[in-house]
Amino acid sequence: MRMLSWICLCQSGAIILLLLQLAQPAGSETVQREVAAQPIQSAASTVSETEVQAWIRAAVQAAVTERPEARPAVQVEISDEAPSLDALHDEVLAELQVLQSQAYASAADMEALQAKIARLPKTKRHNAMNALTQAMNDGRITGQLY
Amino acid sequence: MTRKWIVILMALLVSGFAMAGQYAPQPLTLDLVNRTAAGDLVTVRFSANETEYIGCGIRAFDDGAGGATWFGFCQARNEKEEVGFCNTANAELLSAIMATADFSYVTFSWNEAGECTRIGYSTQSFYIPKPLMP
Repeated sequence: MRMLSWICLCQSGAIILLLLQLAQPAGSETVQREVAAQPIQSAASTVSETEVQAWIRAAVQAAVTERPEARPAVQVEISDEAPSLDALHDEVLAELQVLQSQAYASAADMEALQAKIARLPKTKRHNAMNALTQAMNDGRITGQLY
Repeated sequence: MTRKWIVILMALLVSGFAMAGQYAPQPLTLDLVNRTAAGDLVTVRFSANETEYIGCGIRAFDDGAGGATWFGFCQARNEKEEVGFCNTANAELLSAIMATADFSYVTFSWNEAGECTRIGYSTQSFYIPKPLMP
């Protein structure tokens, strides 16, 4: 009778895990399989009922915490008004002026300038890239990227 | 009899050359009025002058906020040293740039602001130069 209840418990645990696995997105599949394999393998050996329950609880907990939607979304917004970025923007414009005054930009100059432009907020980044591009197209800056 | 074999041998040689397949080089075209450029990489690379080039590239920079900023660019220069250059941060156009291959034909367009508006790659057997024929 006791053995039968263990088998029933293991079966219900396996069904729960199967259902959880089906409900998971593909990305967390590996984690789920590892967790699910644990109680099934151990059930073949001698284990207590409380141990089986603990495994099921742990598996359910792991399934919940591994859900991507359960994680807090980290989104970094760069404000156009940040003072440090104003300084960077001024620096970019100044470098652009220097390149125009010398009418030439080496690949290294361009890479360095683009690396700074990349740290600007979207609108300023867009404008700075376009300013560089236009200077190259109308011949104010000659040079090429590799 | 010997003459017959010579004719057969010649015919085989000629048929071998005839099976080379189509070769359709696309020299550089740069239209600064309509803001478009095109050409296949091999033909432009081995053009008669040492001025021309065409191609596209991608850069990813640390944005200083835990992410990355991606830039794509395309550029071309003709023998008159006229330049067509465009930039893009458009994810779809960046994907188009990634479609490049060794013997690609490249074509791109840009707007007045210098932003790429069209990027195309085409990789065809007829861009592979004859010297590579086995």
